[in-house]
Amino acid sequence: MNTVLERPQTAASTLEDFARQHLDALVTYAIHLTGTPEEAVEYVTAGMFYARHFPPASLQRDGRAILYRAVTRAARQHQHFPPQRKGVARLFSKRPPLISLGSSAADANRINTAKRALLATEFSRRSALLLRDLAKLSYREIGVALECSPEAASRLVAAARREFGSIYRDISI
Amino acid sequence: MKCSLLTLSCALDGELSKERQAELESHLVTCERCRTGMRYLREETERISQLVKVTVPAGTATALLERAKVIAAAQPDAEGPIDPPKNAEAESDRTLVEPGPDPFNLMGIGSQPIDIAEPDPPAPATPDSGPVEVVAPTDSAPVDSDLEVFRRAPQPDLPAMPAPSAPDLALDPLQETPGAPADNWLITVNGTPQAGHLDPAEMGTGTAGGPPQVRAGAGPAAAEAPVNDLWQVPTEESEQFPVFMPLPGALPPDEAEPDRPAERLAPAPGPSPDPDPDSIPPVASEGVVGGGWPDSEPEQSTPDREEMMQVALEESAILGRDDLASARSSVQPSEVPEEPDRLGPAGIPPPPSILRAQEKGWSPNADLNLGLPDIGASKPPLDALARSADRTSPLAGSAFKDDEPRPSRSGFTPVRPAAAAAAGTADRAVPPPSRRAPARLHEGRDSRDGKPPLARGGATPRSWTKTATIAIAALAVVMIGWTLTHHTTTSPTPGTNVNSPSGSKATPATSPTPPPSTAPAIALSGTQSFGSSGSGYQVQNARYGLHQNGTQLWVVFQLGSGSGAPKITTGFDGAQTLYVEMQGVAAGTAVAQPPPGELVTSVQPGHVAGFSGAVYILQLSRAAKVSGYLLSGSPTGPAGERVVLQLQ
Repeated sequence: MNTVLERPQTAASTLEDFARQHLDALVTYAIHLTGTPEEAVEYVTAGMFYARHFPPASLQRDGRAILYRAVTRAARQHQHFPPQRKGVARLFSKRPPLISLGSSAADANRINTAKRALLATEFSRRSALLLRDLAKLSYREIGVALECSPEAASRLVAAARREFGSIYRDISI
Repeated sequence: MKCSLLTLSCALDGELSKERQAELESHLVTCERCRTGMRYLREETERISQLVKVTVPAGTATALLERAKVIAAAQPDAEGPIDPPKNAEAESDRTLVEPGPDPFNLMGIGSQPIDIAEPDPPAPATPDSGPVEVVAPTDSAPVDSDLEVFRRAPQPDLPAMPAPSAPDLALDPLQETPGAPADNWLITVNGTPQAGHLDPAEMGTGTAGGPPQVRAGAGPAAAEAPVNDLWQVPTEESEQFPVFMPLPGALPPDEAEPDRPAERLAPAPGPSPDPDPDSIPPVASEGVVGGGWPDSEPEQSTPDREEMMQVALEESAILGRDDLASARSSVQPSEVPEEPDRLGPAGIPPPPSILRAQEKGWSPNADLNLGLPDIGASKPPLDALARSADRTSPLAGSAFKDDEPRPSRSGFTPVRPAAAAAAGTADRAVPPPSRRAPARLHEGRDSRDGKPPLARGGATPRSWTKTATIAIAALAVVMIGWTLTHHTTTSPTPGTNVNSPSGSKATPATSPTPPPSTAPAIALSGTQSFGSSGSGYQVQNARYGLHQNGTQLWVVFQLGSGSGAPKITTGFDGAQTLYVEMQGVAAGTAVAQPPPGELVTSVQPGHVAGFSGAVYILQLSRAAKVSGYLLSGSPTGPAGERVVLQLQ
């Protein structure tokens, strides 16, 4: 007997609910991960786009972690959405209008010592640090988001804190 | 229990088991290092958690989810559920390409689409619509006013494209339907709304095959080009790009190659961008260069023509006619038959060998220009073909007549016939290069002559030498100027480690600062300066801190507000007395003393003759290296300049 799974459209409402619930946190995470609100919006959009392909079961099982995983993958691989044109044609391409995030994004984009130190850390450590201390994800969820084991996530977080603290103390005098 | 940063981090996150947590707490009581580490970890956690949170407006969130097709997937339109695209690149490419006009067809030439049905009812024309513009339909869901997100347009009235029969994919919810029809869009052509179906293959996605349904940018002329299977019928456009078109029956059956119609339809090959040197036909005989005519044609002897040419050259040398073309013109009218205007059906059909040579990128004109004796004489039809091809070449642009001076490439100096004749090398005189025969042919000619080959593009080695000489001279001038400027206004780079005191093991000073205007009473060694000029500052306090694992002592003088960057000069009087002169800075009333046991034992203000501004005398417990720089106001600390001295 064939087991017929539900169609992705059925899970889309769940994805939409998850996305609306965690969109603020996702955008905040992406802004501090990338440093620019424009890229953050594109990465979050790309992550949402790819999250449509995740099975409903994984969405139910992993919850918000799978959204962070999609956004992190998009940021790591520089997958803008819509994709950036390459070649000479990009000079003539009409960019879609930017999505304005309001004044809070400008505040988040303001550079201070902590952000400078954060942007100086390595990408995976930066993402682990943000997922743990900003998004308050558990080690298991961080493992899902960064596609590693919870033990590796714990080591990543510890190393990220050490690197971030070292850089922060160096540049904060 | 061993000290472990991982354990501390896990404990901070509450991820340790109860037993391990109890062990750690008992360990923290006795281990100062772990307590410090725990405090640092807490501080860093607080710093990250204090980063600014972003609140996305509701309308923006909706727009973002619509752009990501999350909402659209949850709201199927009248045509049924929307299948996910094959990949994001394909779908987003369509999103990028559709809204704007063709970037290479901005003038709207040939932009009439075909096979587009009229919508019912027609949408209002966009005032600023381009030649072909895809806009969101007016009856779609309302879009946030701040955004114009291109969305799927439910078009129940439009004729739906028949989707190919797709296999039953119910077993895999993630499987996409191959060949499913793409989105329907409203298309306005010059402001007139039309509806059509954009085929993904037309948009370059490659997700579906078959002929395109909408050919945006392809005009009726292109669509109705009269092309048969083997030959291209000359049109008005083909006048600029001549095609070698043998008349039917001109080619023998073995040359027809009916199995290669694509090459037959291609225009005449111009000069290859990087032709193979081996493709240049070798010297067939003395004075005749190139592939020549087929072997079936008899070789014509040219002694009379050579004699006439020599006479013409001598006459031109005597009369001062330095133009090779005039010499040619004096010979050719009576000898060369009337040339056709261009190649093609109205001209002389070229033989198959010429066609083959043309396909290899060989230009008969260039090879004919390699030597004087065969100019326009030995092969009249070939010369006619060559000059005709030169005039009608797409690379030639405007036609040059033989009696007109041709523009020479930069660095190329054609050998004039008179000079060549005077030098006894008239047979090597070279006319100006043909535009269809670029440098590659001259390379071959020069290599045969034993000369170094010319650079690509016609530049001679001499021109390169001149250019290189000029570049080197300019670089030398820049370096001299930079050196003079550097020595006159010395300002060491901040943060460089220089200026060790005498007697220490450090590297001696490399660029000492010029002494102040008035000779100081103390001769300092290892002086170092940074900053330029400033005023209005005052020393508020001094701070001390260990960095780089305790190997560096940082002494920070916090200055108040002022203008400019005060000039700071440091120097040693002996090995353990460091003078810090701050020009434009007033001394502070009370400066904190360093903690005991550090490298700096005391910091006292002082007055030294010849020094201006505040002077501080730092007593060191041992010889040390010092480097310093200025820092602007800290975002988290007080504003104003800071003088940072790193002692190691």
